[in-house]
Amino acid sequence: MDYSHSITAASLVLGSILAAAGFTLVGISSFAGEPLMAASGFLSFVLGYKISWYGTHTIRTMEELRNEMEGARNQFFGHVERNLGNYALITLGLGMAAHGTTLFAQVITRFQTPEAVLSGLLCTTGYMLAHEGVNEVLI
Amino acid sequence: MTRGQLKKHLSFSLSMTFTSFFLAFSSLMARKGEPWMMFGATLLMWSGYLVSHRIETGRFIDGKPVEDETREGKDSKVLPRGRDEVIGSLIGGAVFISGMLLGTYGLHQLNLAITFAAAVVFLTGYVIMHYAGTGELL
Repeated sequence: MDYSHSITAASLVLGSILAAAGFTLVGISSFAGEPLMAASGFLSFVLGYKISWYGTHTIRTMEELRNEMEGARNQFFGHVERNLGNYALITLGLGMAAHGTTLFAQVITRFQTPEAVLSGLLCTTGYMLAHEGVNEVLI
Repeated sequence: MTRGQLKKHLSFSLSMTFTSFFLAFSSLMARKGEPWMMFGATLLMWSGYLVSHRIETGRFIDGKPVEDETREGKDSKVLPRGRDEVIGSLIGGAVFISGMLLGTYGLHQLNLAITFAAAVVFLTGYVIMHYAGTGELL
């Protein structure tokens, strides 16, 4: 039986919920001045995006889904080691973006030019680095 | 421009306006510290983005085949190459930053109309930059 459409739909729904929850965590914790929580919000967004990506592009059958889950369990460290550069970029990018959004929230509450410029630079550079790590292209 | 193209551009614009509104609304909810309202608005914003992406490219999420998943041979760019790409990126970047600045003001004032206008400008800048870099609007 062809499950490809159900897998795509499920991955889009699950991915969107994780992405939206992530953005919410970013927004709320930025205004609360908690960059670590903001970073975990960005992480949840990336996770949601990647789940939607797998469901849309690579996993077409339940068999592939099972293989992929098993592969992820067995080869977790190998996978991390092979893509270490990408994970480093994602960590750096998300850290910068989280710091940037927290500063941005401060700027919204009480405007200060140096913080505004720094938050813009951190958010934009962080976004591009993380995007490069996830999709291997800057934007 | 054919009827089909006009319909596509119109649907894209409408869908991006929807996305912009909920981007503005969710930012305002973040400022007010309302997590559930923000979650609902963000879910609508993200759905709007996915639909816009599908209207423009035919797929909800950008992708590449699994066998191409290595860095070798991947067209990974650090800087824009052609003159048009540089000009497009600069114009898009300026519009994008203007949107952020206007958004800062709108959120500071807790004003939904200004924040919505800012979100439209912000996403327009993003679309210009994306088009300059990839030839696709999203």
